[in-house]
Amino acid sequence: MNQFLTETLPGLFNYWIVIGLMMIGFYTVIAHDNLVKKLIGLTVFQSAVFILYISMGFIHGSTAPIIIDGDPVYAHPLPQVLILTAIVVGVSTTALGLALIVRINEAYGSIEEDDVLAADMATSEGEEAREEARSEQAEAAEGHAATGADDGAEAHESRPA
Amino acid sequence: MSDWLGHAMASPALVLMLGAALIACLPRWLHGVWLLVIPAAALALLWQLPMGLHGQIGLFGFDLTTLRVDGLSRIWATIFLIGSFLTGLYALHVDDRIQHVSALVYAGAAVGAVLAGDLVTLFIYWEATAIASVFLIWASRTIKAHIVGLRYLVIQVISGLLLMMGTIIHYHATGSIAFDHLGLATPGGWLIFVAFGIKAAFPLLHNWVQDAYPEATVSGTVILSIYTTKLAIYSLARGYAGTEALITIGAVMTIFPIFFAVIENDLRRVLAYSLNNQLGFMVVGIGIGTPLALNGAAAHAFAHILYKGLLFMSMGAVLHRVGTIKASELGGLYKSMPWTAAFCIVGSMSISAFPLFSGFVTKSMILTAAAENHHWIAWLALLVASAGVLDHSGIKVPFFSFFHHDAGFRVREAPLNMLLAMGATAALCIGIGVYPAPLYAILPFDVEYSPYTSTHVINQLQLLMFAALAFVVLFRSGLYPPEVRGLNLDSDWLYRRLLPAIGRGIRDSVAALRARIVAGLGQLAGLAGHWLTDAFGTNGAAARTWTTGVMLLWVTALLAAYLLLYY
Amino acid sequence: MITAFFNQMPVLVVVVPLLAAPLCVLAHRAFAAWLIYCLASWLAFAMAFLLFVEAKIAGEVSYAVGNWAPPFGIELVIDTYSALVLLLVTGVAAVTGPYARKSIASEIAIEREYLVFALMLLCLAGLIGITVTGDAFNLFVFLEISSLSSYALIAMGPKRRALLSSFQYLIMGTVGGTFLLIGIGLIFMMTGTLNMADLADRLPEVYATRTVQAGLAFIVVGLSLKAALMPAHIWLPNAYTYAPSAISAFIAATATKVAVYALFRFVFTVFGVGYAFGTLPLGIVLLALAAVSMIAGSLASIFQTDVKRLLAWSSVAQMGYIVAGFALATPAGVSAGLVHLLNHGLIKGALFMAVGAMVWRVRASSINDLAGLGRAMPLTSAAFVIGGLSLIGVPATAGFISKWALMSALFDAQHYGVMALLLVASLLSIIYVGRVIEALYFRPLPDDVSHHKHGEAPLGMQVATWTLIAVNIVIGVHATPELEAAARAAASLVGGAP
Repeated sequence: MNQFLTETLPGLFNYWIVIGLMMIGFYTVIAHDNLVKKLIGLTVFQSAVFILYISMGFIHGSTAPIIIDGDPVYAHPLPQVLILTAIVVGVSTTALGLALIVRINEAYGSIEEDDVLAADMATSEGEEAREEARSEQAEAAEGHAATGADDGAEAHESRPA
Repeated sequence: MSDWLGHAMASPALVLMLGAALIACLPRWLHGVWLLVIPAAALALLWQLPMGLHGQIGLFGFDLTTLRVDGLSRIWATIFLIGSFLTGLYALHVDDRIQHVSALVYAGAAVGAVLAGDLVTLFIYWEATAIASVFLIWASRTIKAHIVGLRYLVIQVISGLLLMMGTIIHYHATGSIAFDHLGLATPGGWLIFVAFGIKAAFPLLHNWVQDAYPEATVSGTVILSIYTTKLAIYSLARGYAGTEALITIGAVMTIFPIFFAVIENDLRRVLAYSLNNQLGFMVVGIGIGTPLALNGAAAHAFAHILYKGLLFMSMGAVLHRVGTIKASELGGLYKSMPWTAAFCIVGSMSISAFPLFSGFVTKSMILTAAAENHHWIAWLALLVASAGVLDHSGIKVPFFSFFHHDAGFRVREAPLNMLLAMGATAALCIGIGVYPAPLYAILPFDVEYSPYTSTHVINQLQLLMFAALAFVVLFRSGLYPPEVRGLNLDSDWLYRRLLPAIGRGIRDSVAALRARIVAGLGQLAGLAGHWLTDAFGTNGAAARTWTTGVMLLWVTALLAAYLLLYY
Repeated sequence: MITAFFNQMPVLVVVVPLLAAPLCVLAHRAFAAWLIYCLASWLAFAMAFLLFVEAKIAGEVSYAVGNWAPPFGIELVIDTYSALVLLLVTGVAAVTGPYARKSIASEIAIEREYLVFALMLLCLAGLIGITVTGDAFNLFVFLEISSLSSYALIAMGPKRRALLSSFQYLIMGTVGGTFLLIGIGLIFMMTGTLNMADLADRLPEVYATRTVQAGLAFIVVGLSLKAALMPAHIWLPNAYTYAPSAISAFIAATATKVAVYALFRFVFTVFGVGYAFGTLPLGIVLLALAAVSMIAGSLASIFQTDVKRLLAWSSVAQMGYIVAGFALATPAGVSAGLVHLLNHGLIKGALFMAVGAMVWRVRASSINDLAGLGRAMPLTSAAFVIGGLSLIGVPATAGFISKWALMSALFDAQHYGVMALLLVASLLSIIYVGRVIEALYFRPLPDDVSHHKHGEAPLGMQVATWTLIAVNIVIGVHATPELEAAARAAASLVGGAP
């Protein structure tokens, strides 16, 4: 128990943080309607993964992977390099997301997902109803339309009243 | 010179399909020529092909035999091509590219299917018939035709899919895809049997015929009546000859449509029911499976395509001129359309198997075969059914449309090309009846058979004369309400008293049962429809746009499920 | 010179479109950008074809980026599996070139057109990168490149709803990408390598650890999101519906397919069949999800009033077919899944192009708007019919080949239930395709049409659509090369005789 408190817990400190951040980020994305907050949540979520990568390459008491005299212990450089790339991806995603939010705000006048979705629903329901009406109209018209050149009597023929 | 014969490209089916492709691009005035030239050319090609297996090609790992010319397949291909020619003539005046193209593709697919030497080729053409034919229904361009067409297509494709599954299973079981005798010994055999059964309109699998055929265009119905069901009959003859179950199925098929045909008001639907009944004769013949019976089935299919086509043609001509085909609204048309009336009567007499008409020389083969093999119950059923045919097709159809009370329509006679087509078909019906030797010569098996023995002729005449007499008496006395009138003619002198009661009983109970089942199914379908719309409609729970939160919750659930499963 | 070019081809196929993208931006002219796009995509396609041939001969083409020997450097590996998907991606991209010119011009303001082509090139580069790379992390980067560019492309759709669709796709896609990143991180933790072949060597020692199990779960879920497998599919219908037509065709034919490719690259090559499908019950889960996808996607498709949306939902269903094949993990199943992956890419590409041509003419995409177009646009309508038949799986089309292969594989594996569901799904597909065909051919043109000024679609769109249709028919008639290649790929993935 004591060992757990003194060694395991602090030793895995980074990972606890990773999991905590991940959950916070994920929760924000799920629970918030505001698109900007969603994006913030997403960024937090990604940052958690960055920390995960950095942590896995780190060794207690190691230095940065720069060649110096003596025999120092280096941290694994590869995860750090990888995560530089991932950060670039994350930044681009955030930038693109923010740009989209600006456009959404221009188009809908709101950045709450609820409102935007409701506006969309209203449009789509309107369209739906219009299409429905058109289909019915077409159906009604078809029932009575002359059915092509090979059907129906000719105009001058007499029919019983 | 004849090197190319026997290769896959020499298939009459491909001739028809290429012709269809040409029609799709040719100007309107050339359509007529092509509609007649292409089937004729294909027919010539068919008879140039030597007997045996040809057209071997490799397709996705299978060696396919696209052309198998033997007695059985050739007679079917021949009548399909003759039918294609006649319907082409009949549809000459139609100005609708879609109909012409699909008619030719449909005919080509049907010919290809009967010439198929293996199940994969058969399946490919089988699906092609389904898809090509639905356009003939949609070409009516009514909303009802659209819905009916979709229903028809789904049923046809179900049959195709069953055939495909059956083929796969059969292939895994036997390592062969050859389309020879299959039998019911294996699960694959059963699936294929059901697939054939759907297209052959077995009892309870038959509704699509009456549902879809009357909704097609005037010429479309004639074309539809030729291929799909007869293709199934061919397939049964090829794969399931001598299967006992078919005798029972066929006997039921001959009997039950009579009741519905009698109460039906739409004359094209009456013919669709009688189509079903005629198929029953062929199915019985296949079930008996002796050379004589199979010959009978083949010959009957041959004759049936002609006279049923003739009847549909004449009803189509009536619909074309008058605009309705309801028995209750028609009558007295013989004054305006004498030729059509005459041809219709020829068709009626053929389907009722009057001596000297085609039905007589073919149907009697099946009856004889049933008697020879002591299938007495089946024989009896066929006899009853023969009398029933006289009632609904032989008398009801021409009587209500051309005679009966004058409904007052004064229309012109059918267009010349329709008359020519009907005339040619009628001539063939009579020709076969008078001089059946050429037809017998191309039958698949060598069996001595003569239809014109005195027993055959006298029996048949007795049956028919008495039925006709009864009709006259009953009609004059006005004893029976119109829709029951025909029923009493079902019987000959032996069971005349018994059958009406039983018949009415059965008819009423079947009708009531059907109504209840239909209503129940309708309710169920309504409920299911509501549920489906709620769930999957554009604004339904499953199909509308979710918020990202909900989407992510699902994803989280998925991840959690994976993690749980792995631990 | 020539040999040098051949040796560098695995990397050039990525680099050419990647470098062409900034060129497009520099060109700043719609026409010039389009020209650059066409040249780059055609060049990529030519290289893909050569690589395919090379992979067929050599079995596997390997290339060490920057001459850093694997497993330390990034390795590009092209085997038959990746070469086939590469062919699909570059092929569709090459065909989209002629198509996009007029289609994009009608939907996007001219001053932004060059950006569309730049983004399409970026997306293409990303998709190609995913297929050729042999490095797990590299795959993530390329996946994000292609995803980011497709978010932007979808947002360029003419309706405002494109914006939210794109944003939702962005959120879902990023979460998917991040899951993948976590998964890769977890297996990197246990093995210390990112090279796929090397991972495959080292993973068996640590199979039993929770970390690897969680890694697999994260990777599968992340890529399922990108592949729009149920229940992570909801971003797809909107994204495809509101994107510009040319983009719909391009992305529908390639993006999800490549995600499926990546998913099974990880599952089969990195983790191994025995682990993912034997020790862990991945196969049965995927099969169940695939079955649900097939039915639910088809049902939803039937109710749609918008043709693009109808096709998008059908994509969800077809994804189910593909995954069902792969999830069997038998040689026959994997090759069937792969064949359907390719065929469905071709079918959906062709269908979206045909619909795009109709949209180009009537400026709307509801079924009612397409009424009577069978007469007004006979060629485009015919193309839609053939594509639709192929989607249903009618003989003599590519769709039939894959349906047949899937059926056989399912039967061999004795999954009769899934087989039956597949049959039901293909029946449902008849209904939704039939609805559109009926509207095209059997309904009259509305009287109030204001769009009579357009005739048949422009030549470029026709050529592109019919090229894909022709490939469909060719495969339907002569499928042996495709089936053989798929069998080779399956053999290299799950073992067994090719």
